[in-house]
Amino acid sequence: MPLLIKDLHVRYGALEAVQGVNITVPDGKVVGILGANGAGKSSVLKAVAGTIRSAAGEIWLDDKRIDGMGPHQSIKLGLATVPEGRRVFAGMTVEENLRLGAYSRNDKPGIEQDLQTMFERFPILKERRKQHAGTLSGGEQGQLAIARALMVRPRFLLLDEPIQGLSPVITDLFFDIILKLRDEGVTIMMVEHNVHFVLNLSSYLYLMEQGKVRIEGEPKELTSSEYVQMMYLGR
Amino acid sequence: MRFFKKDYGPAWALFLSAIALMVYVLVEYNFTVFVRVSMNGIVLGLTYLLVALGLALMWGVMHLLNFAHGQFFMMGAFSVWYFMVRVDVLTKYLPIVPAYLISLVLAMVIVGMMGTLVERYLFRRFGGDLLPALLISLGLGLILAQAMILAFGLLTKSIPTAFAGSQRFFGVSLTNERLALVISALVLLVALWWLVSHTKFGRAMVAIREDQTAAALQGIDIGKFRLIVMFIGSALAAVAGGLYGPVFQVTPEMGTGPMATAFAIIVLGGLGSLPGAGIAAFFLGFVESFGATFLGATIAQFFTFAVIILVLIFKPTGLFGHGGH
Repeated sequence: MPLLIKDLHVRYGALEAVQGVNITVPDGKVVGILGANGAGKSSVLKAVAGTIRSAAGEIWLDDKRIDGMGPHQSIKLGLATVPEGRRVFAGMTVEENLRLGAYSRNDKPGIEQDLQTMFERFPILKERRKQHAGTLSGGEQGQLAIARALMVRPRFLLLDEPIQGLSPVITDLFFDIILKLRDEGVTIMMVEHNVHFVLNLSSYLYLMEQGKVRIEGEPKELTSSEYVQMMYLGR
Repeated sequence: MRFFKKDYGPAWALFLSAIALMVYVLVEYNFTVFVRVSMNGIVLGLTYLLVALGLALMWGVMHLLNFAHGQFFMMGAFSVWYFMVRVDVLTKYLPIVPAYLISLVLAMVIVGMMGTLVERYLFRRFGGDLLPALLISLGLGLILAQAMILAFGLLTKSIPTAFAGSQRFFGVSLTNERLALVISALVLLVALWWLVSHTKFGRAMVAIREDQTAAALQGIDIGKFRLIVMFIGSALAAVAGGLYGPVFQVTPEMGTGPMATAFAIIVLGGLGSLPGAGIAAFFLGFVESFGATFLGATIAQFFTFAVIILVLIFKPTGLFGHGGH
């Protein structure tokens, strides 16, 4: 089991954003976390990424407990994150962004090789390699954010609303990218608003409401749930 | 054509005014006076720049305005004085130049370490909250100045010169002491420029300035980075104090003036902008030197701050600031 979240609690002052969440992400699978704004799903992801501290509970990556670790420690265990809003470094070029993705690595030949691999996988980034990331379109920035995370050579990838604000064409491209990563053996935990996108990609889903997991199951189980149909699928 | 952007209008206005001022001095007085005043401006500008760069680094990476920075400058001068005069082991067994250089390095290490301790145990507790850190640094500055008075008294100290003699440039003599200050400052500036623009450390620094959370997600250890930046910034203040000490004098209050100027430099240059700090430092160094020679020190100071206010009216983020902070 690569990722195990046990009884996770996250607090922002008096507000308890995550209240005893349990999530399991099996090896080589895509697991989705669904929920409305304020459900606590991004807080779960941030606690795993190490950008916020959990108030209680445990997070395990393989046999290592990672709650309390900073991102600079968990990245060495192969955990990479594509943050919400993509957060590329606007003042740096595409290539500088990608090289920064490999900050935790010291194998120069491997980094150069991976840089070429990213340019083959995302041709638009090769075209724009000397351009400042701030001048890229939303879809291009999204590809850069994923490519930057892949420069870590992750075994485990966290995606926080990867298709937020992107056009349907780019959304399809992201769908293919995530499937390909899964087929390459990368384990993925994804937080997303777009129900159809998550349902079609994930092998298991958690639906969060008010800081708790309300329903969990395989996509088929969730789509057959009356509650999900009414609240999230509009049927 | 980025240097001709409308955004840099005030920077160009300032640059052209400086040229006009220089032409006026050249026409009205003579070349020797011009060179003498310019050289003094360069010496002052470089000293202020070393102090200001530390402040600019700390603001850029940590969003911290360390008002004890002037006292770190003073501690640098006191450390050099301590190793050169008070404990005369170095000067007893070594020629004066290596003794002075070793004292400078020791001052950098001691004050740098002091900076990291202050960051680790004081500033970090407030997690980037500007006001508490500002108040703490003000208090710390007062404590450090008082501590020096208690430990070594109020009397002015002087550091023996390691570089006796002088050189002549265009008919004007420049003491070797000042020349050493210029050369050392230039070496440090080139080293800092190389560190920021050509190393992994520099790339990480730019990333942290832009987005601290995104930088952390790339594997940059923000806590460790803050300590390193605090060390470099404090050590720069210390070396500036150590270079300034033999040329001028060493007193517990000597940090106040350079700190005020350094603060003015980073505001004028644009908070966090290293090139902006460079240009502003030379501008203020020249204004102080030209103003003090031709207008008197008080009017020069009035003129300096009038220019800063004018620039900030037209560009509130400073010459090369981009807002955001």
